[in-house]
Amino acid sequence: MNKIVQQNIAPAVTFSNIQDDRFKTVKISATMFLPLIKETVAANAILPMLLTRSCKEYPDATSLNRKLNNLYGADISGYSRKMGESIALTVSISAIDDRYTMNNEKLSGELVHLLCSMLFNPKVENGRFCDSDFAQEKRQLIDAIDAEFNEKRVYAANRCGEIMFENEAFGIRRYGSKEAVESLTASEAFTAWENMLSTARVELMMIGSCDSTEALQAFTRAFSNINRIPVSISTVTKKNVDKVKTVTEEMDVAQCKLFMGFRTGAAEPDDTMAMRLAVAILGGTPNSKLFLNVREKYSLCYYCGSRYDRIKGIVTVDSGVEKENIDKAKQEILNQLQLLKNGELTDFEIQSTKMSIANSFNSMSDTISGTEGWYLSQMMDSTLQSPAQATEAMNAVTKDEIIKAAQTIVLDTVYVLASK
Amino acid sequence: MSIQEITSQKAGDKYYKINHKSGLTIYVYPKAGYSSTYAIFGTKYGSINTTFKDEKGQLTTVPDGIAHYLEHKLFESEDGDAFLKYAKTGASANAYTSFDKTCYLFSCTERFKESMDILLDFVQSPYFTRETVAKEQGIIGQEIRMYDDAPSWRVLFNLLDKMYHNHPVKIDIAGTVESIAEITPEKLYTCYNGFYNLHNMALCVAGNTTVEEVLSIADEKLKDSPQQSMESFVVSEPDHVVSDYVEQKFAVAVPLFQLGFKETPTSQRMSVEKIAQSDILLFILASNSSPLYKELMDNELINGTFEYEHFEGPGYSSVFFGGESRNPKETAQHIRKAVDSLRQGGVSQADFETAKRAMYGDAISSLNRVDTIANMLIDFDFADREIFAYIDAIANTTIEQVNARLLEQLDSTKSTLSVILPLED
Repeated sequence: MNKIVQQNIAPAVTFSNIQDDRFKTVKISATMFLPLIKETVAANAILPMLLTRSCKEYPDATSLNRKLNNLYGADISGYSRKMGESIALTVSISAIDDRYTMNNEKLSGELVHLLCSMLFNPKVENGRFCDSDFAQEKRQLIDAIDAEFNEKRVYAANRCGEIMFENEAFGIRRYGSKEAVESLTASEAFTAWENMLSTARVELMMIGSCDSTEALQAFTRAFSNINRIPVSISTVTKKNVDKVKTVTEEMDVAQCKLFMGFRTGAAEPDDTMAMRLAVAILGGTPNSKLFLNVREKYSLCYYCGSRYDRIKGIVTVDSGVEKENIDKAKQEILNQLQLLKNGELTDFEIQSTKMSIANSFNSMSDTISGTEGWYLSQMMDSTLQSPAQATEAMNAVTKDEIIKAAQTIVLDTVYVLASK
Repeated sequence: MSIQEITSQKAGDKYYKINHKSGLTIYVYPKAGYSSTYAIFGTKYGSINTTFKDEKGQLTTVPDGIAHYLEHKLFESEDGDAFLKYAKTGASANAYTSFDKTCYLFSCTERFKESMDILLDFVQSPYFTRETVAKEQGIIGQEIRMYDDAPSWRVLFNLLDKMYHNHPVKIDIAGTVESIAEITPEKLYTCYNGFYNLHNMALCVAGNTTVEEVLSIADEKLKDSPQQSMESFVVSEPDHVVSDYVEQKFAVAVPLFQLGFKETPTSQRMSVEKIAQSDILLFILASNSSPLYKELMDNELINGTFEYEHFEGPGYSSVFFGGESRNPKETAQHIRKAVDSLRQGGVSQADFETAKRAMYGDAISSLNRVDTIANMLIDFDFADREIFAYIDAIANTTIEQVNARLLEQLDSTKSTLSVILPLED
């Protein structure tokens, strides 16, 4: 991966540039991190949607999109996601690199200008976001919340999260509740935007072959006009479980969804590499314990895998099974975890999993999204690791460390979405 | 054996097409400075190839979903499971079956040769027994169940079922729990022997590799295939749709729709010129800067999930518009009306220029990733198309061609609306 060059341009605002001439495109993104709080999450979540819809210079969606389409189909995107107990709001723009335009047009300067317009100069009327724009985005946010019910795997994951993190900030959904969105006003969203610019931790990133001077200057100028009072971002982790929660709900579905949540003893900023390996050995590859047993040996399912959230320090396992096989699948998942805790893992399992993870680390630099994601996912960490450094650290993890990590995994919640 | 170098000034890239002596067509697209390599080995055989002449020249019909079942079972060879072999190289491997092809792939940053050996070996070594075939019933049964619960999948197959009378594109790719119960080792061998012939296949490699490296592995591993052209039975498909509306009630909170326009099929796959014209046309009609998109948004009929595509393959070509909508019928009415009025007035010069630039940018951007490139190479090969010719075709398309394409491609009298509605309490 090419070298990342970072500059602090305002309090808690970092501009990162990765010069890379292999790509046909250039991408500039701004990610704003804010604490995940029930009262503000809906107002924050709507911001990326509102900011990429229009701006003062292109005051409606059609004119903005026409401008982008004329820039060889430049792409803007605005989305929010949860990272630990923070909400990350991203607004980005990408387009083909100046070297590949049909008539040698230079697009990069326009991209910087457009992204800054969207972030810093939105369309404002009467001291708030334009009412009709706001209504459109609010409607679509409500659709997005409702649509999470459409996909049953997503729905089961959300339900399990609500139950497991009932009294924790992590239990807050990324868009907030439907009721919160419904009662949101354009004035509240505008206040949230002002608050975002002055308090969020901001990561600006430019990846591609274009000169970054113009972008750096534009962002520095924009932030110099803002009174920055950055908030601190943190995630509370819980390592113990008093009582396992089990919830079964019925629905008119063909396949039952089994979703299990576990607490663990490791979360950032601790060293999480041994836990990453333990969870991958359990259910992260086609040679993992869950895949080879729950799927291949017992033919219970098509998918059964485990995931580790290293910011919150939790593990989730999910599968889709027939109603009569729910218990069998659950028992086998717990059995495989127990075997891992008991130290029943071969050198081959460890070695092949290390190679598989190294492969995914080392592939990151070959895509713009991989490069961006690699660094953004580490923004909460104290030091930045390159893929090669991360691979080296992973290869140094011992069998004992993996077993010790696995032994801290404890079941917290079992959620079943059962067919009627 | 011949090696052809294919270059593009516009994209600043080049790749190689090799007609290998074994009968296989091989593409190598080196990407300087990339760490990873992506290889895909596929056959022009998918869910639509349900009726064909077998080795004895007999017309035979196989169970729905068998191509996909074969894909799962090919991973097992007499000497073990391919995933287990890949575990020793660190490669990330997968496979997929679509309407018209089955592909096996991996991506790696180390031990490329060992992973290539595994890929070329297992795809050329079928091993089906009663026991291994039976074991897969439960796994694929659950894969089918998963799709049964996916409203976006149901809305599409309900649409195809009501657009096509006879074409097997209307059959679900994985088949049904009942149809896969009829699959036997013998039937799998019949399909394998018919379609997994190197003359009917392609190997595409993109990323950190060279022609020499790929060819030395191919020379060692590829078994010569007898010259054989597979003849799939061609069904006759009427011009008109089966019906113009279909709905299903489902456990959803937001309704979904797909509106499909059927085009008269041709015996040959479409040229890059026609594909480019369609892409520009659909962009003019329904992109996020079109009047139609604005109208649908202003009337609160669609949201950000709205999308459209030209769905084209052997013996079928349609255009789909779809997404979530609180009022699918009204949405369809607006789209049909927009199609009708565009047919009357033709496209404007300004819209045409914008669309052309946007599609050009899209095509160039697609050459960023090694997985996208390798997948495009195999898609294009199976359709007798070439990637750089497609980029040139976008740049060379004229407004007259787009207007002509509009008249043949979009006709509201040959359209079907498929809708998924929430269950009534």
